[in-house]
Amino acid sequence: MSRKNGKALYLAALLLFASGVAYLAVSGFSGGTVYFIDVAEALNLPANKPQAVRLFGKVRGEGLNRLQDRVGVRFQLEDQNLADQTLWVTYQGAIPDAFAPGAEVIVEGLYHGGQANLDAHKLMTQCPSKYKKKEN
Amino acid sequence: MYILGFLLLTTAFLCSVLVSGALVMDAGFRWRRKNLLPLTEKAVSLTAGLLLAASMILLAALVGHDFSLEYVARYSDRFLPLFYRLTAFWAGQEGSLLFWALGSAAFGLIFLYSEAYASLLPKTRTWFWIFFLGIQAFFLLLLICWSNPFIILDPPVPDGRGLNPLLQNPGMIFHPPLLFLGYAGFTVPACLALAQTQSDGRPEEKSWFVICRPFTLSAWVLLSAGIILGAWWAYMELGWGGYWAWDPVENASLIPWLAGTALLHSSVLEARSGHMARLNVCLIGLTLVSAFLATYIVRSGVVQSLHAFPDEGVGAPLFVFVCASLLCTVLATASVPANRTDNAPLPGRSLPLLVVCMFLLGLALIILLATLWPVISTIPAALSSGAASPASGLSAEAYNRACLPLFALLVLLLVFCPWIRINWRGNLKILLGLGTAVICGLLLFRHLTAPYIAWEGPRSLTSPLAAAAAAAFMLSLALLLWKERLYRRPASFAAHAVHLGLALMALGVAFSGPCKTEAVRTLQIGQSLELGGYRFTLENLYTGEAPDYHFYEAEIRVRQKNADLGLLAPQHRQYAKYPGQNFLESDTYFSLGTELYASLLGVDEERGTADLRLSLNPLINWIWVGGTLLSLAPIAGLLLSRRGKRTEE
Repeated sequence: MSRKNGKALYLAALLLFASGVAYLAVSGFSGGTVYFIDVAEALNLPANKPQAVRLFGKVRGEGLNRLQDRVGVRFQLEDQNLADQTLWVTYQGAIPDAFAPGAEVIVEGLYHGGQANLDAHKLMTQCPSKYKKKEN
Repeated sequence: MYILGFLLLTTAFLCSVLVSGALVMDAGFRWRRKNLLPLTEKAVSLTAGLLLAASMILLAALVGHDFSLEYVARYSDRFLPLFYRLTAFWAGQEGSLLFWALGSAAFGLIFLYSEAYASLLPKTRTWFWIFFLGIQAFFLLLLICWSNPFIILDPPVPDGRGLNPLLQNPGMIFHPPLLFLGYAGFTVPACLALAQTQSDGRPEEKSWFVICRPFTLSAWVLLSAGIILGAWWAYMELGWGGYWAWDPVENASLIPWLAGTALLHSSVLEARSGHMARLNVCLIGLTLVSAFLATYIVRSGVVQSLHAFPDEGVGAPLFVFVCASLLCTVLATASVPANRTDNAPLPGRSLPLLVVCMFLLGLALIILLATLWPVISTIPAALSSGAASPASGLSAEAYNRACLPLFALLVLLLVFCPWIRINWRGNLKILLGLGTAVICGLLLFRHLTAPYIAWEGPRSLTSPLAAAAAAAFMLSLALLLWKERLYRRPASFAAHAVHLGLALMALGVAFSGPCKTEAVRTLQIGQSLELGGYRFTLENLYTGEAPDYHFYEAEIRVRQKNADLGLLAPQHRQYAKYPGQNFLESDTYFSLGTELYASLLGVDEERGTADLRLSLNPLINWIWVGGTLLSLAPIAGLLLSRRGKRTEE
């Protein structure tokens, strides 16, 4: 009988712990989700309200300009697969190593569909990777 | 010569497949003509020798600038110093997979010639080599089919592309091999655990976790050191002043570490009372499976990451292998004989260890789900309508909100667990005292961090709680040293030193993250910036040439209350082999209190201005101090234990 009680106690403790972890995970993750999409997918997002997105794409050389009054850059981001699909990115902050025309980057921020413009608060270049890239 | 390298790998693959196949026939279908073990053991030595010879051929090509080999041309050039040419061995996918296979073979060979192996029953040995050679054969298959390091360029190029400058850093030299060796090191204990479930050799032989403890600890140490060095490299080399971004590839290495840490704790339970045999087999299996999963995430492109790259063919086989390994783990766990699982109630003093295991596994599960969220989030729409929906992932803030409270509670457990374990009723006064210390610390650290952390509910207490718990743990440890005379027991002393390392890291993370002060500004020569009580003055801008790069250097004078602290000299480099890209060489003013960090982001020569990122990182160096202690203490513990045993003998 006492063995059964002991097992029930362990089970109850486990369930309590699992509920706590699940609560932490769900409450922590809520509001922290960001669309992980390509440029072409971003261009198809509804234009009525800004969306939090993380975009993957390639930096286009034309129109690339450093911001005049602060540290940052404005550039066109090109879709990885569809070169004619582009949007403008305005990024304020430190420009990372390896940022250059043609570089593959990840940008995170608020996308304004109506203006096809992304106000980025994060700009990251692909890792200086040890792993080779696929050559088409 | 390079065809020979490929042939060596092919022979090693055939040798592994044929021998493990013969052993399966022998063990599974009683196809026994003669004892296969002596032949198997020779085959294990032979495959290790073949892998070593293939690795030497690749190393010789890197050292000798042989650009007729594609791998050499891609990851080295004539300017690269010898040291970096040697480390370019694991700079690419093919080399790193070869390194992993070599590491795994080396661990197998060490085990083969150990006393522990000699104590195993023949049936256990047979099953061990079935699993071990199966894993080895898989990696060799990847090398000969999808990731061949011996591809010849025709015609050869005159010079290579060189190693990316960001990878030419001591942190990046040791980070990848330590991770691979950590992953590979778990192969031996995992294979032995699975083998014992099939052979049921107990009680004639010791349990796998006793036999393989040096292997499990070594693998854990290597993995820990690899992760910490990777974080240090990101801080020193990338110029962003951070060390952990919750990138999928970073997370992938943390999951096996968490599972392996849970195993180290739960194996203590089995050693004490025979409990948790099933859980331990499951945990060592999951540790190895998560190491395979980490490789899959990095090399398959399944999750978009700063580090992940498009699938070059290894993704699909790795996915199949991860699934197969998981199935093996589940089946082996289910087949742990019932008589080995003690039905007696768990001793109360063992409960804290079980709670720690649950915390670690909870964290591993959250991180795994969050890392794979971009894949998981598309499943409901795909199932309901069959159409693809945009993937959604999680921001770094979401990870922090979900994981950091659990990490803080884990540090809190460190404070109380040793006293509950020993005799909680007898130590009630100490427990109450430590509880009071934690509450006082929490109030104090909340007060200190209030200017940096706005009140947004109980989660705002995460950092102060972690810091208070870390400080209270140091008090707890001092009491343990005094009352329990820990210094007389090397193994316990080493375990507590590991926990001290963890507490120091928690202290560093609790302050350096939320209390960091940063400014990104453009300064003219002679201009100053006030930041957190420090005055940074741009005194000069220089330009210069090195053999393979052009650089700018900013000379920044740092003062605090009129006291001259010295110069910071961050550089901004442009390498000839990487046109259009800039590389930052940050500079720091070292301190165990607040470290000053400077990066030169850009230079306008005409206006004489520099774009600078300046930051104050409180207690950040305690992360590296704690990480070093955490990585070295288990080695010291192992050596001291061995010496103790010899003295007893």
